[in-house]
Amino acid sequence: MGPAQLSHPAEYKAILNDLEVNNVSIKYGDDSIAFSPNTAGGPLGNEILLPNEFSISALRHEYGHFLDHQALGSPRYIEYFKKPELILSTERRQYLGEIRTAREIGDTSARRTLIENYLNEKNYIIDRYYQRPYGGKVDTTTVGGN
Amino acid sequence: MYMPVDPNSIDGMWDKLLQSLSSQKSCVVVSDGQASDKPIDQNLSYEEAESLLAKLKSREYVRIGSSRMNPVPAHFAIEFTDSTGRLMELISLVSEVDRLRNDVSLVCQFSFFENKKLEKLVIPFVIHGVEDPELKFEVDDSTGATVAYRI
Repeated sequence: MGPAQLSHPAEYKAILNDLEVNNVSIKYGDDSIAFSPNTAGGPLGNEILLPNEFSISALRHEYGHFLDHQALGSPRYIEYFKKPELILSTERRQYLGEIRTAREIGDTSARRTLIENYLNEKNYIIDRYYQRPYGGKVDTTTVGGN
Repeated sequence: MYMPVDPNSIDGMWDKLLQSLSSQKSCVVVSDGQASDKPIDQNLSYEEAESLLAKLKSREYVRIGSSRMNPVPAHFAIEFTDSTGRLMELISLVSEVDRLRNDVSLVCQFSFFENKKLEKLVIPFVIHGVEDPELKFEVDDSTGATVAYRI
């Protein structure tokens, strides 16, 4: 896809503007790419790590995590693990978006890697944090639409 | 999204960590249970990264920060004696007070959540302003430690 600011300049600018308006700190450098919410919760202190060069698809993924976090009311970080539906749903939403983009542009290799990463993360979270008995009722009040 | 993971449960995570520590800047804040005198942001040499990896592997409880199944600081390790834990290793992204406060908060939230018998966690440096509704923090300037208690 190439660098986001070249392939999708308007969307790139709009996302960065929205992050700035919402006081999300952006740190560039190295190869890390991640959305890190403020562990204490709340609208301030959230951060996105980005490498020096990144695709619009990767930016949408991390920005999407911020939007999901915001929609949940910016909970304390640990709430994602107390209610693993929260982290599963945001990962599913963002990975599926990125996988769809990879399919649309015919990037089979990226698509495969994204699917593998998604399934690995999903398996890890379910294996470690799901304590709800199989078939138990899902608390959808804080999960948000997905 | 950032997530601390057990590197012993994910194939290849230790190798990825070695690569990450030796190719990207990070900051060793705590080593062998002691706070670094002057934490600096640096690329570790391959040998230094190997040595750090060996320490992490030897610890009782270790979590590697990750995103998309790739290592992203903060990484941390704890040793337990009965219901008391001591932070033995902490690797942050950079040496900034706000980040350190957030990393300590992360370490405390996560380790108390994952270790239900943990009642007390000793952080071997002074850090003010960490708050959590489920924990009580005591800062002891004389011993240079911050202690978190489960409420």
